Amino acid sequence: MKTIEKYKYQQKMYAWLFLISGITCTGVGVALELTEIPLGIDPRLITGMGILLLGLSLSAWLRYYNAAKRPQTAQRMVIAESDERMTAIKNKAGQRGFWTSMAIIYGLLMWESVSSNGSLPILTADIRWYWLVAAVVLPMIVYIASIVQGNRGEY
Amino acid sequence: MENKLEEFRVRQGLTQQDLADRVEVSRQTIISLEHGRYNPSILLAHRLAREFDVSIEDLFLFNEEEKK
Repeated sequence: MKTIEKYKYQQKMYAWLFLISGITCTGVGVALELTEIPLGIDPRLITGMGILLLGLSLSAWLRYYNAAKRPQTAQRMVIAESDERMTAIKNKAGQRGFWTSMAIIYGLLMWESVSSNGSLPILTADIRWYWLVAAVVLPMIVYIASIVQGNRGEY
Repeated sequence: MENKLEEFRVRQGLTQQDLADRVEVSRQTIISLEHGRYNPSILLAHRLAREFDVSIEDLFLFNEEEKK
């Protein structure tokens, strides 16, 4: 049960860390909203960040209490996270995601370089934005698909 | 790689989950091992062999041809 105690301790630490930073962030955000000091950014962004941190804290508390209440289930969950087969699947998926991301970014870089001397049309801001979105979304899809494929029977 | 994991497990009256708990891996890993889809690390192979009180060679049958 050593692993589960470590997991519980970690979750408790995360919960406190997120709670303190969440309260601070939300407090600062609300204070800035009330004082209406011109900052150049919308203070609701800071409040929003604080709420997100509070949500993360709640999630860590739930994991902590779940581990305390159902130690066997939590133990299996911890084991599943560090399971060597799952780690191998994740590593392979991560590698595929990384190379997908590299290919897309490299493509954009090459296009920008070549288009600057007139050999290719210059990309508009919109196309560049969609290209960057693809650089984030496609590797994520590749990553998830690889994990599903790995779990279905490659391993 | 072929193995006798299922045979040893059944002989000891263990479920896949029991064995998974004992060697600290997921049940899916035990399933994959039994179906020969996954080759374990030397550490896991050692843990499994120790669990059944046999040698790694008794549990996992390495076939040189398979590698080729």
